[in-house]
Amino acid sequence: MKVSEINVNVLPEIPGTSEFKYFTHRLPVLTFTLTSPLCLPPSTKAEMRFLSRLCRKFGTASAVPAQHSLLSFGTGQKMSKETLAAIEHEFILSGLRQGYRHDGRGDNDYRELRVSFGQDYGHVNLQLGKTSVIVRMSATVGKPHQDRPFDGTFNIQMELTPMGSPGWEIGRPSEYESQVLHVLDRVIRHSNALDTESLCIVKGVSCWNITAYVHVVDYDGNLTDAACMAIMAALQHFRRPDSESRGGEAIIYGLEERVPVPLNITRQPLCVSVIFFNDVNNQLLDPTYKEELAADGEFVIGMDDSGLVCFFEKMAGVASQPMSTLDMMSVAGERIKEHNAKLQKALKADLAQRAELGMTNEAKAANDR
Amino acid sequence: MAAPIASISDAFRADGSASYKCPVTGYRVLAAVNAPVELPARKGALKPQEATVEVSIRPGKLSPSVVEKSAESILRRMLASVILRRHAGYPRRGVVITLAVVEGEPVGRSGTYLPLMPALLHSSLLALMSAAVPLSCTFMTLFFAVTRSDEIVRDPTPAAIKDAESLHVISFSSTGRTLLDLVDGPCDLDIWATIHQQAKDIYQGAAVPGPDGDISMDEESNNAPGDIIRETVEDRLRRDYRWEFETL
Repeated sequence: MKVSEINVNVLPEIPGTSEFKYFTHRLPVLTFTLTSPLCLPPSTKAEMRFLSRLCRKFGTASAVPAQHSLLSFGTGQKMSKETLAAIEHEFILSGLRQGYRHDGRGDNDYRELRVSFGQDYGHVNLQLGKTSVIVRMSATVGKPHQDRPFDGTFNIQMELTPMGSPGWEIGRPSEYESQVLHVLDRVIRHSNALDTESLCIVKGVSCWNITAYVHVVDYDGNLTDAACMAIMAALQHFRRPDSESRGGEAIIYGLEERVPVPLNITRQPLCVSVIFFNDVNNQLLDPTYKEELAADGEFVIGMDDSGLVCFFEKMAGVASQPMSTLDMMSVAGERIKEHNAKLQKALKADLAQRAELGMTNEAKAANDR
Repeated sequence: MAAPIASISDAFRADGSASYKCPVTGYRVLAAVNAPVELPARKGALKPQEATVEVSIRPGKLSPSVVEKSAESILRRMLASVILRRHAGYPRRGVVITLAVVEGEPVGRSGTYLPLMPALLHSSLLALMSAAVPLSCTFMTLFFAVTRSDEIVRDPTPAAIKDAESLHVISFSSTGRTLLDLVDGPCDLDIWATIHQQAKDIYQGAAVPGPDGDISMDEESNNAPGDIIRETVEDRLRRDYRWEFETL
């Protein structure tokens, strides 16, 4: 591992925590936040081996923007206001000790994934087991940022309302909400899944502002994965009105005037969250909310369809085993491929249905370009 | 006129939930009710003798704005008059109602929430029943538009809403009280009285002559919206208690 610089910051706000930044060629590659009484960098053999393997992995991933730190390890408080009864906690743990999950799934199994689309473009209903998410997309014309005159904008809006879970309150964003939003932001927005340059209409004057509104209808754990899949499906399903610039003026065509255009999706990243337990040597995928509450720690892996890691973060709980974490990467890659295939299948079926309805044909025939 | 589509108690986590779709306007509203719950953040605002009702509306693909705030306050006042807030276990607690508009064109900042009112109110009523919140009565809501030629249209289409001179929302309780009477746009007192009478007739189950003076023989169109509420609850109960009915 070629580390050109190691930057150590002691974080005063969390006592006993230090942040390590690893630089190669002056670019921060890894950021570690460690909580230890001695504030020491990772020194054990296993940790160093893990680091070097990760770096080799990221070293080949040249398409991943390096300005963001790809990896951060953190330890902290569990971020949910909800509570689990001690007896339920013990039930889940004792089941895991005997090799059973409380809903009978295998450790790496996902719950049933159902995707359906509404009548509007970009309206996705997604259910992952009992977790249910609705995403709606909107496209408005706005002004681009001054420092990025060639770029449109893409935003993800999500509010955890009491509809999803009685523990969530309106007007008081929980830490869980910002954590989920942070993951979605990093996996979808910062990996440049949506090419924002294609959203420019007139340089510096007007551009498309695309927003994904996520409604959590029901919450039974693993909101991150469900929301990520729903947003990616919505991005691929959405069609924005056609636009062009003529002599520095933006012209927007109505949905009836011209065939609405699909967004320019460069890659299809999805994420997989993994929970693990302290005394039980188990790593579980797709936790229910009870398993999430019982878990001792969790991390999230973001990967695109070609297996490129675009996000890895361990946000809460006890330390994880480096090697088993790395093993999880390949499992996550398989799951992400499966999910992408499922989403593609659903998207294709919906497009075929729309074509049958004559909506696309009608729009095509009326058009001369 | 197609009948609305409703379902009840679909959600897993919320205490009560319902979905209601109005086929004419295309709006589909999801409602969730959590009650009675502790509201630690609003300790100062809680009344010791009764429950606090909170309503929040989330528009489908916009950020909530003042329009939602005004609709929320109308709903809150009306639903608070229906909920038995002094029932045992309710004082000093909250009834939290969350409504999300998941289908249909969003209402902008300058828009009116009146076309959405029937869907919002009916879905909240179903969700309140699903959460077993004690209610003094049930209610039904009717929506009318008055065209420029002073014609009264029940359940107008989005195009008719756009061209309408005034919009009217009237709500009757199962005990015969008028709970809500909202008007948007200029209208004569005569027209208002006619609409009120027509709404009362529908509520009482009388056949109302159409704009051409004919009485429609189509069963669906004469249905009062109260019927869909009753049918939805009946369907759900039949499904939930099937084990018991089948062993009888």
